[in-house]
Formats: sequence, C-alpha cells, structure tokens
Amino acid sequence: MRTALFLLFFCPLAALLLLSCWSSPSSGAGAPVEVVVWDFGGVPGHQAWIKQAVEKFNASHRDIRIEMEIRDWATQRESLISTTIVGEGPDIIRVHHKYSVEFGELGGLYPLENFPDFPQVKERFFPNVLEQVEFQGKHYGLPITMLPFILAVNREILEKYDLEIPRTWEEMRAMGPLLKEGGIHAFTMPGGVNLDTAYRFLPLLYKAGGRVFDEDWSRAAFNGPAGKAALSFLVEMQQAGYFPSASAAYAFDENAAHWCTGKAALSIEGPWWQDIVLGNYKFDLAKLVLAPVPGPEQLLEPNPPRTLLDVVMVAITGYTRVPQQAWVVLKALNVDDPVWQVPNPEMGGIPAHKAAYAPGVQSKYIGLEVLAEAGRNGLGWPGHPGITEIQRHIADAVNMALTGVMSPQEALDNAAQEVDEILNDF
Amino acid sequence: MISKEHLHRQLTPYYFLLPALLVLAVIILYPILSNLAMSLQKVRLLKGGGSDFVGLANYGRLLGSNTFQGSVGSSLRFTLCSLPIALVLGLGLALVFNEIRKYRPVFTAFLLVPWAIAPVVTGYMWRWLFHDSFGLVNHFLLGLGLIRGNIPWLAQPDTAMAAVVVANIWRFMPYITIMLLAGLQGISAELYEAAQVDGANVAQRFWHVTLPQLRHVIGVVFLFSTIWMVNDFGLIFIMTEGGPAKATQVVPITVYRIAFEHLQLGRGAAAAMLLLVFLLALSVLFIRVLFRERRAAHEA
Repeated sequence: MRTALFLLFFCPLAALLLLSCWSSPSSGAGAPVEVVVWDFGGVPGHQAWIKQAVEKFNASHRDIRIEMEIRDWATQRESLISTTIVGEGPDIIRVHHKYSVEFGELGGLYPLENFPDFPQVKERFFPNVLEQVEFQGKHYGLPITMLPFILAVNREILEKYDLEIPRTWEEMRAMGPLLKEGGIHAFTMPGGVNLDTAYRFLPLLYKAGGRVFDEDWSRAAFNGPAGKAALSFLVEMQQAGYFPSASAAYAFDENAAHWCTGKAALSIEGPWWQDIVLGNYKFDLAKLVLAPVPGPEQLLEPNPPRTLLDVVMVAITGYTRVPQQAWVVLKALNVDDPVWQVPNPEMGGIPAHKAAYAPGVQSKYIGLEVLAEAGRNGLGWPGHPGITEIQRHIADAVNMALTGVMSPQEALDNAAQEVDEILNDF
Repeated sequence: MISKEHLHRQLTPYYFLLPALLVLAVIILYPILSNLAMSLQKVRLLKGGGSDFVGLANYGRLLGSNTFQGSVGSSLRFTLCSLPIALVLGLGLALVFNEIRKYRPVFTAFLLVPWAIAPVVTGYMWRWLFHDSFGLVNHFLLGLGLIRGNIPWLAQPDTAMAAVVVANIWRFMPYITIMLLAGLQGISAELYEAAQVDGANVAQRFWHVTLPQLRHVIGVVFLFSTIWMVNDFGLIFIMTEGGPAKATQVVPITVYRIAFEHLQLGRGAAAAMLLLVFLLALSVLFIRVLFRERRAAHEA
C-alpha cells in the first residue's frame, strides 16, 4: 500500500520535473536560443512596428528566436516586482525609465556596461536622456523614446480671440478673462488622484526653478517657493474660472476630451498628443501648435528652468540566462532598426537617437523642433527607488489644493512630510 | 464507558465534514492566518526582500493615521447612505413585481442587468454620466431647470460621495429586489386573507403581515449587502480613485494603496485584518440575533 502511494505521488512529480528540464529553451542542441521580450504598453503604431520587426528578425536569424508578448503599460511595476522576486521572467522588457533605479538596485536589471560595445552604442543617444537610465554609474537600459512635456495650444481659439501663445504664467493668467467670456478655459490639466496630475505639476515646478528633492536627496524640496507658486498659480486660475473646477476629478481621458472639444485653449502634454487627438477625437491637426511650457516671469529657486522629460527604455533583465543574445536582439530592434532614424507620431514618442534629428530628416511631427529642444533639455523624475510612491503623494497634494481642502502650502508640506519618511526609509 | 462502535457512530458525521473542512482550511483559514502573520511584520518586497517582526506597530500606526481614520469614515458614509435607500427602493420594486402576473420573468431579466454588469463597466458608465460637461446627469438637470450651470459632481468631496452612492444603489437594487421578491412569494396567501377578514387595510397588511414575514430575508439581505458594500473597491476606484481630496477613499482603496502602490505589505495586511474583524463582528452579531429570535419563536 505504501509503495503504491509512494509511486502514485512520486511518478507524476518525477515526470513533471523531467518535462520541465526538456522544455528548457537553451537545452536543445542546434535549436535557436529563445529571447523573451515583454513589450509593455505602446500605441497601436508602435505595436504594429514591433510585431513586424520581430517577424523580420526571426526570419533572418537562425541562432536566436524572439518570443514577444505585448503587455498592458499599467501592469509593468507589478510584473517587474513578481519576476524580480522569483528571479524568472522575460529577457528583455520595454518599460518606464524610472524602473532603471528601482530594479537596477535590486539586481532585476542587467548593467549594459557588461557589453564591450556599449560605449559605441551609448554615443548614438542624447546624453541627458541616457542620464535617466543611469544609477550609480551604470546604465540599466537604452532610452529609446523620449516624451518631453510641452504646451499643446489650440491655434484656432487663440486666433479667434487675437491672443499670442503665452510664455509665462502671467501671460496665461492674462488670457483668462477674454476666454472666460467665450465660455472657454484658458488652461486645463488632469487634477485627479492619479499620476497624470503629478506629471503635469512637475513641468510647472521645474520651470519655476524647483526640484523634487534637495541636493543630497535627504529631504523633499517640492514644497519650496517654486512648488508653492506653481500650485498657487493653478488654484488661482481655477478660482478665477480660467481652469475647469472639475479638473480635480480629471484623469488623462477627461482632460483630453475637454481640450479636444475646444473647451480649453492650453494643456500640458507631450509627443503622444498629436496621435491621441487625431485618433481618439478626430481633432483637426491644423489647429494644433506646440510651445514650451510657460514658467513664471522670475525664477523662484536657483535652478535652471527645465521641463519634465519622461523616457521609455528597453532593458535586459538581471535574471536572463542569455544576456549576449538579448543584447543582440536589443540592438537590432532598438538601435539599428530604421524606425528610429525618423521621428514618427504614430510611435507615441520621439526617438532619443541623435540620428533622428540629423539635417534633412523629414518627419510628420507637428512642432518637432519644440519637442526636440524640450527633449534635449528635459529633466526626468529623480531616479529614486521610491519614486512611484512619491509621485502619488505629489498628485494627492495637487488634488487637495484644487478641491480647496488645504491651501497649496499645507498640501505640499503634508506631502513633503510623507516623502521625507520615504527618503529616510531608504 | 463509551463503546468503540458508539464512538465511531458519533464521529461519522465529522468524517463526512472533514473534506469540506480541509478545503475551507486551505482556501480560507490559511490565507487569513498568513495575512495575520504578515500584519505583524515589516515586509520588504524589494531591497533584497525579507521581513522583520514589529508586533502591533502596523496596527498602531494605522489607527493613528488620518488617512485610515478618514477612510473608515468614508466606508461608513458610503454604506450607511447606500444601504437604507437601496433597501427601501428594492422593497418597493419587489412589491410592484409581486403584483405583476404577466411577463414577470421578462421584467425580472431586465431588472437584473445592473447587477449582472461588471463593476468596472458600471464605474466607467457612471463616471461619464457624472462628467461635468459631457455627462447626461448635468444635461438632464439643466434641461429640467433644476440647476443653472454644470456641476462638477466628481470633483467636489460632497457631491463625489453622493455620485458613488447613486451608482451603488443602482447596482445593488436588483439583488435586493430579487431576494425580497423571493421572500414575498413565500408568504402564505392565507395570512393576507385572514388579515382582510379582520378588516386590515393595505397599509396594515403591509405593516403587520408583509414586513414581519420578510424580517429574516431583509436581515440576510442587510448582512450580505453590508459586507459587499464595505468591501467594495472596483466601482469607487473606477469612478473617483478615492478622490477628490480622499473623500471617497474607502477602506479597501486604502488597503490597496498601502499594500500595492506603496508596497507596505505588513501595514496593508493590518488594514485588511481590521476590516475583517469589523465584518466578522457584524456577522456574528447578526447571526446571534437571528438565532435568538428563532429559538424564542420555537419555544413560544
């Protein structure tokens, strides 16, 4: 009886173990090495390109085979956490640049300095964008797409009211009364309890000379004079009726609907805007103009005014068993592919590759010069492992002030206290 | 002395229960105990992983936190505003449906639609219905002359709570109606006839026959609805994400934010345990009241 029971449990277990060994991708002699790519998010244009690029790669390589999976952008952090803890998952990922620090520190990502030709590859990207994927002197990904934040302007509204594109907050405020008479908000942005809110507040903070942390990253600094001025500016605009009071409930979609239907003249957006407003709202692109994000007339803190720069990177995971093959795939898809030589609005962001801005390159991007300039001078979120949580607290502060529950200074101080705790924890 | 055969007979029912108890232990008891253990630790998912025993520190920090206290208040407001209205409307609808003789299954099927729709879909639907400039709610209210300008329903703390309560009532009413309808159909017609013979009018029949007979069904509906509403996450999260200014941040959203956004699993587990204890206490209280009444009825 005991023997029968033992066999009953042992045999299937042994069979399963053997099966798992046989199905290991690298064990088959002569079979191509499998490189698993998880492509998080991406607009339809990007997805169409990567499917085609993978097919092309697989057809031309006998020794490597790419297995690609398109995943939801919103799930990347959860996926990275679980795969990093387990130590198993894809070989290459396409994710937000902020994870280069969070997961680079944990060994969840592979430092590209380990590849001898990395210095040559590095030369092909803008240095300020490369900084966004660097942590403690090592690069944990290639920054393939940059998403600088700029001002999206409805040209038709401004022309109708004979207004100029504003360069400062004061000029934005001055547009308000005239547009308000016509039932139009001068400016709109998401102000709900979501990360979109923090992403719109930060360009204003940076433009006023503010930063998220102090110099040695020991304390929050977004509650300084620049932060207070930026949030007070938003609250004043809202109270004056130049900014939708409902924005305290807006996420990206509601804000896009508000702007695209001509209910607001200005919005802080990025390279994705052109494709989104055309694809989702059939917005006439002849009315779209891009401009740098306005700042206050006088800097409020002693830092150069910058705009927020978001970056999408491709990285090799720290637990990959095939780093060399993954590097070959990564370069073929994300460095050498011709798609990176021309900025294409359908790809969701502008390339971080220098070649895309060479003289004579023709692009369908509206305001490419503005985007490229913002990209070359943009500054990302600080590469701190707790940055996602910190972004949440900043979004909460903006939302609190916009709903009038707290004053701008109180809301920012409250969030700064939480952020200081996070900084102490690390 | 108890004979072996007698003992065996006594234990036989428990042998039959054993497989079910084992399954319950694996899928209910183990996760609860595991969560309890986690709530006493500071868990580091990242930074190399691991955990430190911190005793009741997570509970202390939670109970002292304004956010957690606020979310308990939001959960109570959400449930206490939704449940009575949904119960009254559900009872009214059940009484109407009970009188319908023709095509009742067709009407019942229609009635079930809000309950059958996924909370995420319901959330998105109501989010856009309450949109300040594109929403149908403002459109109709403006058309009827009840408001002068668009109301940013989801952007003001008070109106945002009202909006999620309305959506919740819409979603729960079919369940309550169906349960009460089943209860109504179980009431003997003889009771109504006897009451009528005694000269009871419609209101008196409702008060002295219908309501007492429905008491237990209403109790069960009350208990289940309370548990579901206090645990509700999807509908509110989709509609408001807990905002504005945390006005609709109910306890499950706080648990989610602590555990999965801030990755403080220990504190998140402690918040979930507090929620569990509250709901268990409510259930035990309710079951005791129910059993006491039944026992009293049997003894009488």
